[in-house]
Amino acid sequence: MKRRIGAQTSALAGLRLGKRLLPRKRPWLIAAAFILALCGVVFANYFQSFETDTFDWTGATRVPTTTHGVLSKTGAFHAEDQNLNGLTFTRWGGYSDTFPVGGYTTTIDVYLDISPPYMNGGVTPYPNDTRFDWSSAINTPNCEHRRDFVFNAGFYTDADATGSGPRFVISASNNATRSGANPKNPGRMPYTVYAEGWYIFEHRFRDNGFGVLAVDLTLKNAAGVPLMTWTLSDPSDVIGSTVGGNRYGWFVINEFPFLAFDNAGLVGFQDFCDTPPSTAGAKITGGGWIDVLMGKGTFGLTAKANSGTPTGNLTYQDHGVQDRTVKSTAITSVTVSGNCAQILGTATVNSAGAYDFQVRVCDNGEPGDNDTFSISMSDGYTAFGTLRGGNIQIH
Amino acid sequence: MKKITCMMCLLLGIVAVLWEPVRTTASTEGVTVTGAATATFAQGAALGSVALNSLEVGTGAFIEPDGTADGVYSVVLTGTTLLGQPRQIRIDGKVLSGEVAPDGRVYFNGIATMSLGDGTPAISGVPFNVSTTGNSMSLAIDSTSLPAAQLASGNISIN
Repeated sequence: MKRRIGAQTSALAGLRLGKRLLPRKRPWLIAAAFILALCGVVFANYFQSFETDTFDWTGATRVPTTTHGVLSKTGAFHAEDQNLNGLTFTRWGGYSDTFPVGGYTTTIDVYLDISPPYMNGGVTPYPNDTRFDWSSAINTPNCEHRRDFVFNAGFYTDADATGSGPRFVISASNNATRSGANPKNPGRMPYTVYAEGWYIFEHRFRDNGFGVLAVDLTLKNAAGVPLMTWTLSDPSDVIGSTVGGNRYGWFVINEFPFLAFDNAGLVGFQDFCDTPPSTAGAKITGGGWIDVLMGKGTFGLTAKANSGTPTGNLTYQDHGVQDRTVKSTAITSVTVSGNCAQILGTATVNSAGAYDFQVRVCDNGEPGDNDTFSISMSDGYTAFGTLRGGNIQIH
Repeated sequence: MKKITCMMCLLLGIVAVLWEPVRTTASTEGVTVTGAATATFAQGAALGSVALNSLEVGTGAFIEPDGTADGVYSVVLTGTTLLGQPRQIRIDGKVLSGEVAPDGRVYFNGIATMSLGDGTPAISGVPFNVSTTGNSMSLAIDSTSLPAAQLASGNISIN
């Protein structure tokens, strides 16, 4: 992988104490993380549907639905990579230095333009072997680039073992660009797509059971049904030793004039290398409850960032099988993007320890029936949902 | 007739809110109240015909020095009906004003939507008053003042 997004500084986030107190991995944590990954990405720690902005994307052009003939996957807007060829990427809200308990998942919807009329307005197919590469990369524990995991996708009109006529052929590897990868590589189990539409490109970063990173790259149809999975793993990618947290999501190459994408998200706790700066003037209040396994998850939240200095409190109580009370001891970041906010901090769990937490809330109007609350913690705990009672107010 | 009764209750509630005894001292700095907790009622607590056992609360509010407030108060009251059926009463409130007494007790109030959990439509515009020390919480909803519920689990922070 020759091309990388600019080197990330190795400055480490200040929230270290929680790491020393991590409990041993428990099956329910992994199961919860897996369920979280499967469930709606709208509860992701980072989520961008381009409805209001392009927060934390570079090179993404926000466009209304039907632009170049493409209906947004959800909502009224999506984004396009307008042939910027290597300059379109996200940091998923920020690079992370610690591999989270239970792993993490990144996902993005990409529109595969196969049938006329094409997005360039013509009826002539794109040239045979027109490509894009979509990578989700991982860091070292020092916040430096470790490895890319890449969907290699190409549009073809020729005829060979992968099929014939207009189609996409997709495979997965640790390399990108024409010099490094080939979607039709027979050793990479190429998968052929004939039907035009939205497809989900998902990366699931997980422990292979022996402390080594394994990444499942899954291509899903618009409904979320898996079509093909490639698993990449290298024995030198040892979690906690050579492997840290998330790095970027990146269209490493894009040879299409317009490549439409939507709903980019990361699900899983992020221990940021650099704490995101707070949004000056942000003010959030919330209280209510979501459903958790066998009970309610009640929460109270106040957070603001006068002049950019974050303050506030979080209290959360899981009344279900994972019974716990979370009480913040420090708020380290309050950021607002559109109608959603992210609150980072440190908390005790059942009056003990010091764990990092990441809360994301969305204010979807009054009353709060459609508002959402999610919490991820450095010990692997996750809970999320649409409010069953209460309200979120982003003032 | 029902409408008149509802209006009377509403008026009584508003009067109760307005005639709440004046706290002697307001805080000189704003405070936040943040809580997610379970609290239990002593025997005899009731709202209408529902005997209350406990409440689960989630609240977050900023109370400014001038007595204005912004925030959310959400509580589920759990109890039993006269027929012994379990019942949950849901109150979702918007905090509008509040203050801190010299002893540290925080008072706040606002307007809520109350769902009685009996299949009848939720009632909106219901005034509520809350006072809390962090260890207990007292709630007056509409014209009914409930006895203080003692914290059983969770946490209420006043900062």
